[in-house]
Amino acid sequence: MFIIGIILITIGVIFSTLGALGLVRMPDLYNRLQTSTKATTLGAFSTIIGVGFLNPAWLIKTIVIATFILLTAPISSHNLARASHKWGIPLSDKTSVDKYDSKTGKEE
Amino acid sequence: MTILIWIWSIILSISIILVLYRCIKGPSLPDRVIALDMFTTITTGLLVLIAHFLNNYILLDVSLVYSLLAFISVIAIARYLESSKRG
Amino acid sequence: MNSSNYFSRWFFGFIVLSLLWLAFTFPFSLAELYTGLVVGAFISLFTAKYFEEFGISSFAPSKILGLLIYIPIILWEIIKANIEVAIIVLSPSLPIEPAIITAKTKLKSDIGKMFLANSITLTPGTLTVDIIKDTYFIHCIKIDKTDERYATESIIGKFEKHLRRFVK
Repeated sequence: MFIIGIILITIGVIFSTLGALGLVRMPDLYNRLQTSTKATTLGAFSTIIGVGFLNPAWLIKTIVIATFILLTAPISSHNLARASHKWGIPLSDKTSVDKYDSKTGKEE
Repeated sequence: MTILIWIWSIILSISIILVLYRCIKGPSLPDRVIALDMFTTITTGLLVLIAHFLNNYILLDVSLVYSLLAFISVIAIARYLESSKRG
Repeated sequence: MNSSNYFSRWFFGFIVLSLLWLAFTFPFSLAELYTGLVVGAFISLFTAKYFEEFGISSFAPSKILGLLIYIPIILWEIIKANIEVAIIVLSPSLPIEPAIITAKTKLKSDIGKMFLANSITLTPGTLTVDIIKDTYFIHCIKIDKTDERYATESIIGKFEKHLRRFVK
C-alpha cells in the first residue's frame, strides 16, 4: 500500500508539472486547454488517490474528491473552449482546418 | 517520508509559479481563466498532500469545497464570456 | 406524465443523492444519515421532472455492470493519451498539427452524448468544442487526416462500443 501510494503521488506530481509546462509552451488557447487542464486533472487525481493509499483510513474520502475532480474538469474545459470560440479567440497558425465556425452560423 | 513530502510540495509549487506566469502574461481573458482553473486543480492536490502531512482530516473537506467552488466559478465565467462581445 | 413514472424518477434521484451524501460525509453519524436522507428525498421531489431518462430501470444489473466495465477502460485511455501529450510537451520542436474536425455519433439519448463528450474531453489530445444534434466538433492537437469517417472511427469508435452497453 505504502509503495503504491508513493508511486502514485510521484506520477501525479510529474504530470502536474508537465501540464504547467504545456500551459507555458503552447501557442494558442485551445492547445493550452488540451495539454494543461487535462494533464493536471490526471496529476491531481493520481496525487489524491496516492494520499488515500498512504493513509488507508482516508481512502474513501480521497476517492470521492478525485472522482469529483475527474467529473468536473471536462465540463469546465469544454465550456471554456466553446465560450472562447464564440468570443472570437483566434486559432494558431499551425491549425489546418476549422470546421466549427461555418456550421454554427447555419444551425442557429 | 517527510523529505519526500517536502520534495513533492516544492515541485508542485514550481508548477504553480509556471501557471501564475501564464496568468499574468496571458494575452487574452480566457487564457487567464484557464490558468486559474489549473491553479485550483493543482492547489487541491497540494491541499490533500498537506492534509496528510499535518494528519488533519478537516483539510480533506476544505479541498472538496475548494474544488467545487472553483468549478462553479469557471462555469460562471464561461457563461459570462459566451454572452458578451469581445472588446 | 403518469404518477408511477414520476415516482420511479424520484426514487432514482433519492438513491443517487443519498449515496452521494454518504460518500461526502464518510465517517457519518446517525443524525447526519437521517438529515441526508430527508434532504435527498426533498430535493429529488423537485428535480424529478428534469431527469427524464432515468428511473428504477437505470439500476438494472446489466447497466451497472456496463458502467463498472467502462471505468477502467476510460482510465486506461486517459493514461495512454496523457503519455502521448507529455511526449509532445517535452519535445523541443513542439510537433503539433491542431485542427477542429467533425465526427458523427450513433448514440441517441442526451445522457449517452454527455458521457461520450466527457470521455473525449478527458483524454488529452481531443477536446469537444460543441455538439449539434449528432455532430461532434472536436479540437485535436495532432491529427493526420481531417475527413469525417476517419475521425468517427478513430476518436468516437473506441468509446462508443463500450458506451452502448449501458446507454442508448
